[in-house]
Amino acid sequence: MLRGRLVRHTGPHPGLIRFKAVTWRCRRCGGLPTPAPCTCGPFCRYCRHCLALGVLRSCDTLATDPRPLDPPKPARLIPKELTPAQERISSRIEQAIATGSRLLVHAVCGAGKTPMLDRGIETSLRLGKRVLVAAPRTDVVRELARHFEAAFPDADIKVLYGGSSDRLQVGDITISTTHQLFHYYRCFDTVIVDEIDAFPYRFDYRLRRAVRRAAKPGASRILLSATPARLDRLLPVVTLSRRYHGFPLPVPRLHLGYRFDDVKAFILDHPDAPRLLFVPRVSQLDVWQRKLAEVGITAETVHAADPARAEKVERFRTSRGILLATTILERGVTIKNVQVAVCEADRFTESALIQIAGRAGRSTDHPDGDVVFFADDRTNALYGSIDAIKRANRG
Amino acid sequence: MKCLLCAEHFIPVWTPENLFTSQRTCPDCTMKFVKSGECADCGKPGRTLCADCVRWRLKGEKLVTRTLYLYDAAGKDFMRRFKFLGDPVLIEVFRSDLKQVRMKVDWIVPLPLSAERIADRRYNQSALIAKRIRGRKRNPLSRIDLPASSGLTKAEREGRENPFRLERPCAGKRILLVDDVYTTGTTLHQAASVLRAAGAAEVCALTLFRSV
Repeated sequence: MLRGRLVRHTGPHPGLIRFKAVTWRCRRCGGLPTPAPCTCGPFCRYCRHCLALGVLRSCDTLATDPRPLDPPKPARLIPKELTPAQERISSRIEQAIATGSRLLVHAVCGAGKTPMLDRGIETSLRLGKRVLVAAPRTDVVRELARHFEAAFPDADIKVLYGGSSDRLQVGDITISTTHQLFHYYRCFDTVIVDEIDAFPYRFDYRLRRAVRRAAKPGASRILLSATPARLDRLLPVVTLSRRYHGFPLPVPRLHLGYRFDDVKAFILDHPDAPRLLFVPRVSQLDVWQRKLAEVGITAETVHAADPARAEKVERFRTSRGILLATTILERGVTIKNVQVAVCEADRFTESALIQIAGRAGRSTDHPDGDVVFFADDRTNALYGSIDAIKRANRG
Repeated sequence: MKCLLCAEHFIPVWTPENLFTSQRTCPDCTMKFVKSGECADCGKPGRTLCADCVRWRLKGEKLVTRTLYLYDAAGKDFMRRFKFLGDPVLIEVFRSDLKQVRMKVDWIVPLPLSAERIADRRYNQSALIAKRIRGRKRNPLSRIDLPASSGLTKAEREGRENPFRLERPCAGKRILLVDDVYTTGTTLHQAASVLRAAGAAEVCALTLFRSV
């Protein structure tokens, strides 16, 4: 069943291709290769960017499994209740998938982007088009997988991320991190990319290329984001500026020229709710934890390289504690009745601030939440993010 | 500059000592490697002559080996990436250390790989290390294919057949052998005994790591 997989073996296509008088490029990831000693001679190169997938030299060859894939089977959908606004977007997505065109869905945080895809995917499978749902982050992929496994109980769903058991397989619906797509070439007719503005997808041309190459020529591409970049807004856009529960987004309060006592006051103001504090850097986590400990407040910290990351977030969901986090928790996390503060908010980007503000008030029971930006300096990102949230609330 | 080991950006700090050396790793990654210890013959930390080296000397096979760093977690991770993942550029991490090695020898001899092994790995890691040391490089040895020594116990290692064969005469030469990791020293001693039997005047050795 390992179809559409790229494997290294001797064959007609060289692993790295040479552009005339310019440079070498890695065929697998599109990165610039490095010269290295090799038995083949003094001019051999290898790609360090995708070394984790196995070393690929210019004297090696990269091959694609050319066997055609079986057409996907239509799947039964358990429909979810959608609001009229969601209904409108959903039918636009369905239409784009049916006609094989491109679409950018610009929906605010907590608008319920995932359930809007269901009907589009059902249509796609009915038309015999294989579906790929990709996201740059593993947590988001797991969350998407949970949703689609519930929505399509008898579909062939494969979930791909580093260390998953389905790796290198192709399902009728494939849910994958963008990094896994280096293994696929022209496999999918419908490509849905969630969170296109998330790190590292936004800055990494190799991941964008991987998504492009995983799609068949003429495949329809649906991009989802709450904070799309300028360049992405050139695509046909549909906008949804209401949350699924109909309440407006919490507008962040800006606290300029803050002192530590202000942060402490924020923490003490919400004694019976989970409080999430964002800091700009991993090294700042300890500094803030120590500062809080000095005034008798215990806080947990979480960052990307933390081995106990998933457990800590899971514990925080049900507790009423304080969690200090870096931007890894800026998206894809839903915590009931969470109160959010951003320390040193002048060092965050606009999209990060919008996403962070979107953590608050996501559930119907607690549609509002306190969001405070503590900043020393005024930046365009601060004002831009607050403006964008207010504009979305106006509709 | 981008660190070779962790791919993070860092700003090299210039001081009079490192003005003419290249900094390819960030300060954090550089700090992770621990310099080897006291043993005069192999650099094992602890005593001025470790028990293993005393035994080699009693057998009459003294081989003074200079080891640069200890084979700890950082060293193991380095070797895994450099040798087994196939990232030969990483040798640049130790470029300035190797450049500073000055030994009064005629030949620098990297331990060869067997034909089967080099066809598989495509480069000789010892040759890459030797390349960055000043001096004449020569290859008077060849190696026959035996199962890999990484993963054998100490007794198994010491009882192995000598895989090295002499290809070119080396009589009267002072020779520096170069290898990547010194574990029990058996491989280096086997190569040294072949060279000594062929009439080499003096044999010493250098490795990147000394296992602990």
